[in-house]
Amino acid sequence: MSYSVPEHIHFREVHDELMLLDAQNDAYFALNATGAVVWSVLASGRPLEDAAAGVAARYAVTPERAEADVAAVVDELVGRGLLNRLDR
Amino acid sequence: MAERAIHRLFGLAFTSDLPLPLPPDAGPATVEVVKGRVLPHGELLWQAPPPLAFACRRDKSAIVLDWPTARFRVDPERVVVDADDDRDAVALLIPVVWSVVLAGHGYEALHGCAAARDGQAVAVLGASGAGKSTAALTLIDRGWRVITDDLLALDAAGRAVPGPPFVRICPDRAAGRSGEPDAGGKFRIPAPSCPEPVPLAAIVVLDDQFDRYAPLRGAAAAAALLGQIYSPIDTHPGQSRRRFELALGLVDSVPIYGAPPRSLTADRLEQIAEAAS
Repeated sequence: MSYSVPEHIHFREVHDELMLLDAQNDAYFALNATGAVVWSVLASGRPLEDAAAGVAARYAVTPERAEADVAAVVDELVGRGLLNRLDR
Repeated sequence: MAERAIHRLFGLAFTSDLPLPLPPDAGPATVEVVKGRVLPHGELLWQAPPPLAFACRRDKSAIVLDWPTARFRVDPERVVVDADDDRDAVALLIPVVWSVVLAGHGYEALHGCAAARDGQAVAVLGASGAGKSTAALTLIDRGWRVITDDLLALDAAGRAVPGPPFVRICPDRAAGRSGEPDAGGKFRIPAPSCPEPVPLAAIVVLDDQFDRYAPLRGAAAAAALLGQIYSPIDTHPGQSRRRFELALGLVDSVPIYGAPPRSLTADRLEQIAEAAS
């Protein structure tokens, strides 16, 4: 599964975290370091599996655990309209 | 016809029909403040919840700010003031209405004061009653100069831009200092000011979310700054993006601290400034 960032979502890394702006709703969001890893992979157009692999490698957790954690983060991001899920 | 006085506020020189507690400036003026009739027309952008009585509207290119005591029509180069009592209008013009003028010129502002010494400034941000102006006054007592009180505007280089040369404070916090009462019920305490913008050495955010004084970094620092945007009403296009960039630019360039409201001492502020230099 791949994702895209809507045009009205702006983001910037601050130290190892990430700040997001939803310019349409004038709302700000912060992602911690793990969320920032997930975002950087998905925002570049790579699939969820790559994000899970990145988290597993960085935090030395099992692939299953990484995949579950990443899926939860992504559900939250999609639910808040910060990411679009692409049907392919 | 008498020539109108020119003043400068947060980097913008302007002429004014209103008598203002500001020093004269050589100009040239890019904004004019004139008296006239302002009607409460336009698309409603924001209405304050009762018992507050304030509405903000957009009427063509102008923003109409509507209080019971005064109404303002704000274009980037012209502010029309409709008020029975000049004192009411002055208390709202500086700095609330001016924040909208600044937004029309592309500048976002934070809710904070700043003081400077030796070419470096410390800013204190926080909601009304958090202790910003009291902190500024304690520094002024130690020889610092006021840059701004209540509204902190930054130039493109991230320097604090001078506002009015006084600190407004509740009479019960004036601690024997002499000042002129304004229409908002506060005392204007005159203070030595800074003629030019000053680089920021540190920012302290006073907020209930902090239970002790501590440095902030990353997203926590950015979120703390975004919580202190002077006016959250979107009056001009692109404002949320500008606020976002302003906060993140400060996180990248200035040490930021969090502290509980009313917790700052002059010693602490001077330590912060010394550590940053």
